[in-house]
Amino acid sequence: MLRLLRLVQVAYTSLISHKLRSLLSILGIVCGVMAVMVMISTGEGAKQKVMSTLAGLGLSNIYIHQAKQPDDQATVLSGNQVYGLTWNDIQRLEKQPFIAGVAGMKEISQAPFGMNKDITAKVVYVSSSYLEITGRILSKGRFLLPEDSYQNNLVCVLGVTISRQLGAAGRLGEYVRLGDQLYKIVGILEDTKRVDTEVEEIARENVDEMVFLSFPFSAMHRDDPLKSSLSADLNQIVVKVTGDTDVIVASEVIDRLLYLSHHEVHDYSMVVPRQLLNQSMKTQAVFNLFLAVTGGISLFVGGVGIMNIMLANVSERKREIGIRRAVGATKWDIVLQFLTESVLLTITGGLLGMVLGGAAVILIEQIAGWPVSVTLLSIALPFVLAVFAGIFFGIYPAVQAAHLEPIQALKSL
Amino acid sequence: MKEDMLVSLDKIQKSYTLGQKPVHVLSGVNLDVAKGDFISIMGTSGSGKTTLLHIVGTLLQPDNGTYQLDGREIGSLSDRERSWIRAHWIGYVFQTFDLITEQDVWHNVAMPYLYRGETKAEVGRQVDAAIDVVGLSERRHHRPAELSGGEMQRVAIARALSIAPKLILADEPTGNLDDDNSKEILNLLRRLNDGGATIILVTHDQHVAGMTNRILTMKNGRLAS
Repeated sequence: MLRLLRLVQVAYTSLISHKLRSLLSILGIVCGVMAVMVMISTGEGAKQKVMSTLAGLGLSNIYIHQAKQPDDQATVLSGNQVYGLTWNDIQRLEKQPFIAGVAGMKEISQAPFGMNKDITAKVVYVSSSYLEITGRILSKGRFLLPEDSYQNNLVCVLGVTISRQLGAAGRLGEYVRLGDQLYKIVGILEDTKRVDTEVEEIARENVDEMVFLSFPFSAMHRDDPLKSSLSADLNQIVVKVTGDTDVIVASEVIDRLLYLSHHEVHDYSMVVPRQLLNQSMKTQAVFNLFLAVTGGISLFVGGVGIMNIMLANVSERKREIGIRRAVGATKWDIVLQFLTESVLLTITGGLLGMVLGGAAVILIEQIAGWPVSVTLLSIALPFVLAVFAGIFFGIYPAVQAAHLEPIQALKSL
Repeated sequence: MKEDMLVSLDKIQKSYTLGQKPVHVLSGVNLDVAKGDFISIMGTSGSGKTTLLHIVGTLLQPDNGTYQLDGREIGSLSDRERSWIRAHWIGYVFQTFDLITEQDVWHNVAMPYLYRGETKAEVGRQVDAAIDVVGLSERRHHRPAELSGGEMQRVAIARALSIAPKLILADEPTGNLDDDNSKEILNLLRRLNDGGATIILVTHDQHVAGMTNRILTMKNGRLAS
């Protein structure tokens, strides 16, 4: 240990006596470490953002949206056919053994809303199972119950933004007006605190700005089958598959089921968060490979710079090598000394690269607004790679130094 | 084997290839140096005296012949073992001082200890004592660039001395010094010999050789008294 410290001291003295040369030799490593750190941090940030977005949608869920009806579609549909998602679809899906739950949603209006001031909100009918299936959380009260539908209870659940906008009138137990009806507030959803809009884009909803009502009993259980099938009942169906089911396979089965029952018309679209996650992970893997190659090239160039300087060092210090051999240094001692110098150079370069990389990551987050994540990996990996580069590229010059014949080395000027 | 001899060379041969021609530098050198002896080897440039010194100093292996140092056969030793011999038994003094310019006097003198593995306390004592012997106690934290030629050679002697070697090898130790400094260095070597040190000195200067106990001359690859 003491010997190692002495070696480090000798290496330090040697390097510090050629400050400018040492500094220039580590520039490649500094840039390499900085680049790898920035790339890992931004890559990790992007990955985490995608993960949280998709996890927020529920990885065992499938979102089925009604597709916009093309102009020429109206002529294709005839008789009992109806364009879009219906209660019949929900009933069909509920019968599938691999489905744990189904919730429907229908947007009714963006009507004036509130007792004292009018607020524009997205008002929707939803199934009572919606909360459980989508994993939303209530902050106060309760969600809509099946009996609210059976009994036609005039109750509602508010998104947190709507509740805040209503102020005192948006509290639990208060009544709000929707059209010419008064609805009692029985629950308020928790703030989703999502600053990005990706979840909303995929699920096509922002629950914070929504008002949830129970489907009227008549809409769910119409006696007249003809009437039922004629109405396009739903804007969205959310399906949760059972735990042991492959959600992607399930989505293919559901797609087939709906396609056939909709008379081979694709009047709906499906979003499978798990599939998006898989695609995102594949993209991430390609990106990671790109990072690894770019970082590897940067560190390789930095390492070659170190090797170049160390070879010049060995050539310049042949006489010193001869003296050290004369006073008792073994070949291994010479290898260790020059290796210590190259590792010390790369450690210095690595530390400098980490500081500058950290500053760059902060700047990227602040100025460009990119999601970043500084993890132990993003700090440790480039540093370890730099030290490895120091050892790898330092070995050849060190071995060259050790293999100098002492007599030849002593003859050098 | 002469048991009272520190250095015993028997029919040592060494040749180099110059171009395609072999050059026989040493053609069967015999040399015995007793413990406590102080000998000088003289000869013209290229006569092989430095080659002989490097063989004695284990930096060079002879082509033929046997070499025993303090009763130990050197020829069969590995590079690592010969390094050990140099770190523990042999102190080198070169014509050009050969100090590490980035390090101060103390660290230059302590250099052999880097390869011996002693603890810091032991090193400190030995190094301080060696610096005291050469009279440079006040300059221990100076760098070589801040010293005169004579002082630099004294540092080199202290470096050789610090390990309490069995043998000191000096290759033209006064070759780069003026008369006053030369005299000072020779007096220092003389004192060390008086204190029991065995010294082999290589020089082409008759006056320097005259300060030693015995003068040997290298001629045609052989030594003669």
